[in-house]
Formats: sequence, C-alpha cells, structure tokens
Amino acid sequence: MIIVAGARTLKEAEWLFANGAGEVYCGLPDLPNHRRNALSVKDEAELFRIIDLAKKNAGKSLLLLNQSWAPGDYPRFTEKVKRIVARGVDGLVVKDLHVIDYLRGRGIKSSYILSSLAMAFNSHAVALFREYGIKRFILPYHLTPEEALGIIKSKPRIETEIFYYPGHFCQNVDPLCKFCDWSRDYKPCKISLRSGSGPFLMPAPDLPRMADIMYEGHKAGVKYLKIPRTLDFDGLKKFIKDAVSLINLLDKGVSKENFRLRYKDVFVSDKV
Amino acid sequence: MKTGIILNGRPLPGKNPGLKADMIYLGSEFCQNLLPGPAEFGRALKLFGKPIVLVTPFLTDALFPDIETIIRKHAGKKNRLEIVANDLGLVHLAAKKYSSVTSLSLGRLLADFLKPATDAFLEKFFSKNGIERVETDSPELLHRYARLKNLACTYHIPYAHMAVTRYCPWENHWVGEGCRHACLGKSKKLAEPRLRQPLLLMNCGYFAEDGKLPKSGRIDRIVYSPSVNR
Repeated sequence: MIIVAGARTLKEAEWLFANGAGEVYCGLPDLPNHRRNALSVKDEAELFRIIDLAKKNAGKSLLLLNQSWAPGDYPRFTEKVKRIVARGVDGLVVKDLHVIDYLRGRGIKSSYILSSLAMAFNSHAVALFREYGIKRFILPYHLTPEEALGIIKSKPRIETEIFYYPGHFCQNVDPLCKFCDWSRDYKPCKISLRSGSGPFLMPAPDLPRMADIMYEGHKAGVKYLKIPRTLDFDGLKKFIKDAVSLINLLDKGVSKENFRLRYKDVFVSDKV
Repeated sequence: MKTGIILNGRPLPGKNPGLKADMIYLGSEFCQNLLPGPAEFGRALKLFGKPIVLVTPFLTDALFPDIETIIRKHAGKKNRLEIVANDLGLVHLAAKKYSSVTSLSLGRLLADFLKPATDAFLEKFFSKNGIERVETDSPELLHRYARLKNLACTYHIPYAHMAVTRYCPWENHWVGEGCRHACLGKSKKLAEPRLRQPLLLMNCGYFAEDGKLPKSGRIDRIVYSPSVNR
C-alpha cells in the first residue's frame, strides 16, 4: 500500500517522503478544501516547493479541491488550478461533478482523483465518474471495503484508496451532515443527547471495526492509504509510524485477529 | 396539489390500511434495508390500489439486482415507474438502461449534494438523466431548485433531514452487516438543553421538525412522513 499523507509545510513534506510516504496532498486556504485553513499550506509558493520536492523524491503531489465552489468563483479558482497544474502537481482530488466538468471543459488535464466526499457508493456511480475522467477512487468513510469489492476489483481496474483515521470517524455521512457546519461550540454528533431510554451518543465504528476497514481493504487490493492532515507534526509522525508498521504486518499476512490486536495500540489524536 | 405518504418497504401491512393520500412513497431515502424487494413491491401495488413511488437511498452494489427486477417487472412505457433517487449510480443506470420506463425524482440527499452546482449544469444533467422532479424538505432547498424551469417540486412535512448515517444507530453495525430491523415502529426524540429543538432519529436519518409549508407556487406535491418508522 502506498501512503498518501497530508502536508501543511515543506518541512512536513520532507519528513513524509523520507519516512514512507509515496505521495503528499495539500490544500490552499483560498481554494476550498473541506478543512480549516490551519490545515492548508500557507501559500502557492510553499505549494510549489512541495511539488518540486515530490518530483525530486520520485513521489507525487496532489491538490485538494474537495469542497464546492460558488458559481461566481469558478473563473478565478480555475486560473489558480491551471497555474498549479502547469507547475507540475500530479493530481487533483475533487468531489463535485460540476467542478470536474468545468475544469475539464477548460482544458485542465490532470489525474482526477475522486474524493471520499463524492457520494459514490457503488460501481455504477464510479462508472459515471469515470465518464468524467476519474482515475482513482477514495472510498467514502461509510462504505466498507467488503461492500466496495465490485469497485476495487472492477474491469478495467480503477485505483482505490482508503482512509487511515483511528482517532476520528464521522458518525454521519460527510458532507451531507448539517452538524458539521454547526455554528456553535458543540456538535450534536459529539455530545451525549437525552432520549426516552437514556443517554444517546450517535454511534461510530469502534477501533476493531476501523481495523477491519484497513485489513479488508488491503486484502481486496486497495492500493493507497490516506493519512489525515493534522495540526500536530509530532502526531503526524506517529500516524505514519503506525501506518508503516501496520502495512508491514498486512504484507506479511497477519491474521485479522492479530491485526485488530495491534491496531488497539495505535496513536489516536484529536488534532485533525 | 397531490399528496403522498412515506412507508418503508419491509414489512407491508397485512391489509389495506386505507391511507388518505394520492400515492404511496414506498422505501426509504435513509436506509437501504427498508427497500421493498420485488415481491413486496408487487404486493404493494395490489394492496394499496394507488400509484407507488419507489423511494431509494445511497445504494451499494448488492442492492441493484432487486431494484432492476422491480423496474423490469413493474415499469412500462405507458406506466413509467417513478423513483426517488439519492444515488448517482442509480441515476446513471436508469438513464442508460431504463430511461423509457422510469421517471426520476432527485431525492433530498442528492438534492443537497448537487445544490451548489450552477443552474446550467443542473439543467443539462437533469435533462440527460431523466430527472423531472426534486424532493425537498426545507425552504432553502426548495428555493434553490425552484430556480430551475421544468422541474416539479415535492415538499416533505413535517421533518427536515439533518444527517444520515450508514452505521446503524439502532443496532450498532454497518447497514450492510445484516439487519434485524430493530427500528421498525420506532423513532427516538433526542434532546439536550443547548439544542433549540429536539432531533428525531428515524431509521438511519436524523431530523428536525418543521411542519410549516413554505409559500411557493412550485410545490405540486406534499409528502407526509409518520413520526415513527413504519
């Protein structure tokens, strides 16, 4: 499995390429990318340095475009993307059919990677996105590798990617959850609610089930493992160390039970 | 103004409950385990004696054979099957294989997902894919789609969707891992002092209650959702 890790700075990208990552992905604060600005690279100049670094390391760099654009922003965002593609970024991670359609219509040739936020849960949806030029498919959080077997093993093959995210798992399907943009200091998906039968927490898969996603994904032939961006560089290093160790175990044919046991000890962070 | 009522597809009542609606919305926009199978769909047509709209959520590959069987058995050129589609894969398949026998309505989840697109893109996409109607449940969603000509609008009352999950909140597993239908006949009111109003959990959807019907000349169908999953 190739590790695809989020980087916020050239320093992070350097460490990532030296420690097991084959690709890095970045957001820019003025191109919507589904996370707060602190998780983005500070500016285009830094992104260009990361693109150059990726090439020097025989790796790849990807640009995140996984949040919707307001129609009025299309022309200036597209100019920016054109510049970045010309500079050599290797792929664009996209979510919206209309954005992909617009970019391709303006002659922007790149490797289009379908974001996990794109609401594609089956082979027919992937076939639709393939008509728009998608070359790689990131499984949505809420689609297990077992359910996605038809996509992973499709002919012609499409590259597939899953998330590594032991510290956090959205309770609900992103990006359709209205609790995500909750403008208050709490989110209903993260607090204890009262129901007639006692306290209620919106459930999410536990660590063993998260381990199963990685185990089954590897077994099915998923090629890429996506490591989240984090506000904490030390945390990122621990994510990578754990991911490399887990991939090694999978490559050696570890049993599901033993993999779950090892997964219990992974580093967990809330700074993502 | 036509009316509809939502019923999930499993199980069907034993006899016609005499529902006062012009049509039955059969299935679920929020959980694939509440879809009628081909046999249930056929039974529903005889049982209710009213038009049945097939209501579907996000779909994994495993669900498509049954849906295609329903289309092949119960849809025809003179009697097109109306399907509420929340899945881009189903939209794509219906357009490629079943465009002459189906009529698609954009479900609430897919309507939310596509709402940021330009009007020009949506008009082209809807025309290419046989989407003739949109389901809405909030003034915001309704007004967004009311900008498009040639698109009929349904409004769902009294609940507006807030979130959907594929990790079953009733049985604590993925919806594809086997379902005991623990949610049937139930819903959960979820409260917390900081919430302005309680949320309602019904099958795999979380909802807020807002019974008001917006003033809009574009609504030509109102669909009522019961307060429990039935």
